[in-house]
Amino acid sequence: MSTQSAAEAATADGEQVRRLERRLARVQRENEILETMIEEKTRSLYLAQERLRKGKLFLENILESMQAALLITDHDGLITLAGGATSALTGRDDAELVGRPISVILPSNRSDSIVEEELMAEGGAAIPVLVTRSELSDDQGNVTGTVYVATDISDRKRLEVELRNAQRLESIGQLAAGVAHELNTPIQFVGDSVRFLGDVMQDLMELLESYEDVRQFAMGIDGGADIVQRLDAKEDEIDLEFVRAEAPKAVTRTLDGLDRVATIVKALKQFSHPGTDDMAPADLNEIVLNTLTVAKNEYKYVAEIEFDAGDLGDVVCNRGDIGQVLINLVVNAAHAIGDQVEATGRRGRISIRTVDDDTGAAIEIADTGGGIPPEVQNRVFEPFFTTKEVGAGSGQGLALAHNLIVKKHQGRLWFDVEDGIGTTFHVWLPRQSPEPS
Amino acid sequence: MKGAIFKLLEDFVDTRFGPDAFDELVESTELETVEPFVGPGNYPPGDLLALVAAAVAAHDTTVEQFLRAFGRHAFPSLARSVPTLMEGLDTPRAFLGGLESMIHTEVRKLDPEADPARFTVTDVDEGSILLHYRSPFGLFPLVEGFLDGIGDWYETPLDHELVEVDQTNGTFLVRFPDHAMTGSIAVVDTVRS
Repeated sequence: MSTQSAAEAATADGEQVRRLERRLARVQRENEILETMIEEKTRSLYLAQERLRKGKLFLENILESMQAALLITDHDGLITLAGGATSALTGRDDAELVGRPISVILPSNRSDSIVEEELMAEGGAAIPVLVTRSELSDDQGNVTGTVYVATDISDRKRLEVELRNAQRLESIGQLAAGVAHELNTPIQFVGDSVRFLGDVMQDLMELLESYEDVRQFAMGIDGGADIVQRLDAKEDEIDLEFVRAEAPKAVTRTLDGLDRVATIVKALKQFSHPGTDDMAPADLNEIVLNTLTVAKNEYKYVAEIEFDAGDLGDVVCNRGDIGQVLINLVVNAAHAIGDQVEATGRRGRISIRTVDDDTGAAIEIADTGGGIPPEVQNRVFEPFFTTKEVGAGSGQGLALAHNLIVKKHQGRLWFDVEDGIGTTFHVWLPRQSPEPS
Repeated sequence: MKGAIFKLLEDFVDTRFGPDAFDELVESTELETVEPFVGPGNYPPGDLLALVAAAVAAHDTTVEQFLRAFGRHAFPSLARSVPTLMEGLDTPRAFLGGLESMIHTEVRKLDPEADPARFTVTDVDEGSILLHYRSPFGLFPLVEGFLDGIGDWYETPLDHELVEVDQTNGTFLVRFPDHAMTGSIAVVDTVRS
């Protein structure tokens, strides 16, 4: 090889080496760029996974916190997801529902978007629910299934029944108020007339006494004996001695009965038309007496009443509310005693006492109804909680009483239980007018 | 534009014009991109057009010839790089029908920023279709090259013709031999590598 050829070859080799080095450098740089891209992609995948995980957790939390049953079906009506409160409401296992027709749990299968239906629980119980239906679509807008959200409306249904009852009772109350108002006037004039008759009766009795002198005088004159004989016959006929002995008593009994009727009418008026929500000074002892009058039919066959009325003075309260609370407590006491009477045959006792203290006034209502079982003592003020049989109690009386005394009057309502003996409920009201709540 | 296209161009230029041809092309062309092209990257479409223009000038050919040859060369490489996507697309007709709905959908999954040209198909009769091409670049010869490459891949030469042009969009009439409509050709890398 000539020197020139060798030089040219060396130049060509050098050029080739430089090209290869240049290509190698480019490839190395490409590798670096790709590594960076892989790192960035890995990081973004991690972040995306984190977002997905958090999103999934978020959705799971929403599902778990739902108070409604959530059911999703495919386009054939087969359940693909059961969650939310489905298990809690129905007692069915969510996983066991998957793959089954929606009709096993929502049998009516109505197509309305919002409708009241029944959700079938384990064992066949039907739970009233409000169901909202919406179509589930994929990202192309094709309908792939249906989403059902079923909200338990048992409480609402029960409230509707209570509301209807309350409206009925309100109507009866209004009727009672009207009747009481109409009775008031005749009771007054009947009372006035009977009292007049009593007075007249007394006068006539005195007049009869003075006729004895006339009788003696008539016996001394000619033909007088015959007159006296006819008078005696008439007195025997009308049993004058009996009339003189019993007529004043009859008047007294009539007046006593009228007083009791008037008391009942007055109590009815106060209970059925308690006035406004305003607070005003009221005599708690009078409210207790009215309560006992109105509730008499509840306790008179099972319990004696003792009322120890303290010297309270007026307490600022809403007399309608307090009357409502007391009647609930007295009726509950009578019912508790009634259960004992059935078991033992012995009448019980309701002891009511009103007590004054420096800052307020207390009313204690003690019964001999055996007490409240320990396992339910912490629930007695819960709305809708009742130990009475179905249909016998709404479970609202003590809840309402608690609300009226504690929230509205800023007072206190509590109870003591003497196990096996009875329960004493304590109502305490502040003497000062409570702040509006 | 996806870096994969630039890598296909590199492979085509080096294969056609020598192992250093692409490097020389890059060095001699004023590009917006400074770093080397890599497949997953995204680059300005103008860089591809500039490289094509430079290649045409350097190698005494026309843009139409260059792009068509590039398309024909590129398709088998593309098909080999995505074997799972090609599964089930056993005929040219099946491939063209699934190009937008299947292949480009998968491309967008891999890279949400990717904006490939859109291809839709209208049946004309049992043996032919209209292939509608929508792109802001109007690279009709490249599409024709791809159609040639598809014919090579399926060993079924396709008769195709650009029948309508609307600015950068176009429509190709593609005719298939009888067996290309329903026949099944296995995708076996070793046959074409």
